[in-house]
Amino acid sequence: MMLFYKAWRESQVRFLSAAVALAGWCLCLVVLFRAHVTDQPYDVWINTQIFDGSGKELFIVVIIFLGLGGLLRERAHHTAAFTLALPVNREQLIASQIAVGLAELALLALLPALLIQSLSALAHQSYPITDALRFSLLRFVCGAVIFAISFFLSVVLRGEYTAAVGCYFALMVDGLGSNWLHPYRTNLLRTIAARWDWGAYVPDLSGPLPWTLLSIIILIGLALFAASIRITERQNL
Amino acid sequence: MGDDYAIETQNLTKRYGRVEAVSGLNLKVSRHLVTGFLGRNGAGKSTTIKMLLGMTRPSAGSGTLLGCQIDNPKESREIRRHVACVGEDKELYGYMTVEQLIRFTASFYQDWRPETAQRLRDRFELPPGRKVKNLSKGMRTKLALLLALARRPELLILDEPSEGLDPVSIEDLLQLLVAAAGEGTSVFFSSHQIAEVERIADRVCIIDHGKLVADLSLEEMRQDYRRITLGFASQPPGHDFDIRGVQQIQTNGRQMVVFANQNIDAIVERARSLEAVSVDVEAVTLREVFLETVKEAQ
Repeated sequence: MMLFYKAWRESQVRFLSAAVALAGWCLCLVVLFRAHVTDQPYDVWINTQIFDGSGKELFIVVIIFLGLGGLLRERAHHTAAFTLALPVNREQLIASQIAVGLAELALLALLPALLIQSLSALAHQSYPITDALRFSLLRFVCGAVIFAISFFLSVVLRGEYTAAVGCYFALMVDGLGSNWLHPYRTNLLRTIAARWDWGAYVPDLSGPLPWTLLSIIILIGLALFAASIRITERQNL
Repeated sequence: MGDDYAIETQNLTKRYGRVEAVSGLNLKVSRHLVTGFLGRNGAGKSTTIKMLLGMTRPSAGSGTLLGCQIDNPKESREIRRHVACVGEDKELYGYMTVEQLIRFTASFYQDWRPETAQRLRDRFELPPGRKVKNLSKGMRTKLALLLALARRPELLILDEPSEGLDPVSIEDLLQLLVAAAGEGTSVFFSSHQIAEVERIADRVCIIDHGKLVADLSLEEMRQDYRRITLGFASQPPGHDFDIRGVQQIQTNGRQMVVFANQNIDAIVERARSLEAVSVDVEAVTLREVFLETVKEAQ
């Protein structure tokens, strides 16, 4: 239990900063910036600005930073010796970081969905809660892979923010590669915003969610977590 | 936990690329004693300790702590239940307060002694509500010691424990280590401070270039090791001192200094037979033994 507490305390600042940044950006978009937009329906504005566009970019960046963990990071902070002297397995240490990170990710994925309901009321507008929750689910699933990439890279790469930069590049490569190779459904940046088709420039939640694709994404995330644990078990610190 | 030795290694080796940080180390550290682990910078002390604690995997060889294999993950966990360590960095979780860190650490050990933790916290004047990151290095070392000692470990391993401490704190530290040994804890600590080691250690292991070059009891050293300074009227006859017990010979003009660890009377007798004009026999310090051992190993 105390390992979860440790993982929470280590990520607390990043998580709270992320929550404040996401909430602040939602507030700005819905209450301040929306007032100047008259040529777009409210729900389209929310879809394109909060669940896609700048809102999506911000979400991805905070998840990348939330994913930074692993023992190399502890080594950089000179706390690895203390941590490794505790009578716990390395996989327990890493698993607790992953579990807490995923819980935080779930809250961050849910945050805009909940906030928009109250902010919309403030702006005398409404947004369907079902759509907001579907976006939350997409954010959780795709966010979990982004978290897993960032976590995996911070397990294998030294340097405070090397993994974050590496993760950002990995997402860019995924975006460019999937466009070029044309299996654009594997493009995380489009999937997270419910833009399923190549020509789609706005999110589309009209049909059912692509569960097969989401399952594949979850499996990729799990594989990265498993690799992170395996590598950590054998890591020299 | 079984086994005669608190620490035992067989040909323990650690390579980083082409560099051998620890090279076939054969170490035997007895239980219930204070053992100093001496060596120059880069001699392999910290790497050895990291391997013993499972932080780094050995490239070759094996080792046991309290009878448990250091490279077996299951046994390594068992080791960490019974072994406490204060690492070289002495960095702890800066985001926790002293009290939070004590509670956090206590939760991992069934044999945690809250009264000892409380006593040491008062003795070290550690402010419970202060964040660890706001403690001085000395205070952090004391907190690390508190966390190690409040568990009544069977073996306490410390890497340069006195580094960064003021003289009063060093005194406190040394007394604590002696007290811990008195309560049955085996203490193994690395240090550059030979005077500290000489004060509290029962045995000393000296490592150089990753190899064990000396393993001696300080009591035996005080009894047996001698520096014999000989003065001659002419050039000293070096080759005539190739006898049992002579560790090293230094010649400086007409003076010869012989370091010996046994057979002192025979060496003095030989000196007199070679017409030495003066013979002075003195006890040696650990510093001299260390310097001579390391020089000899080179």
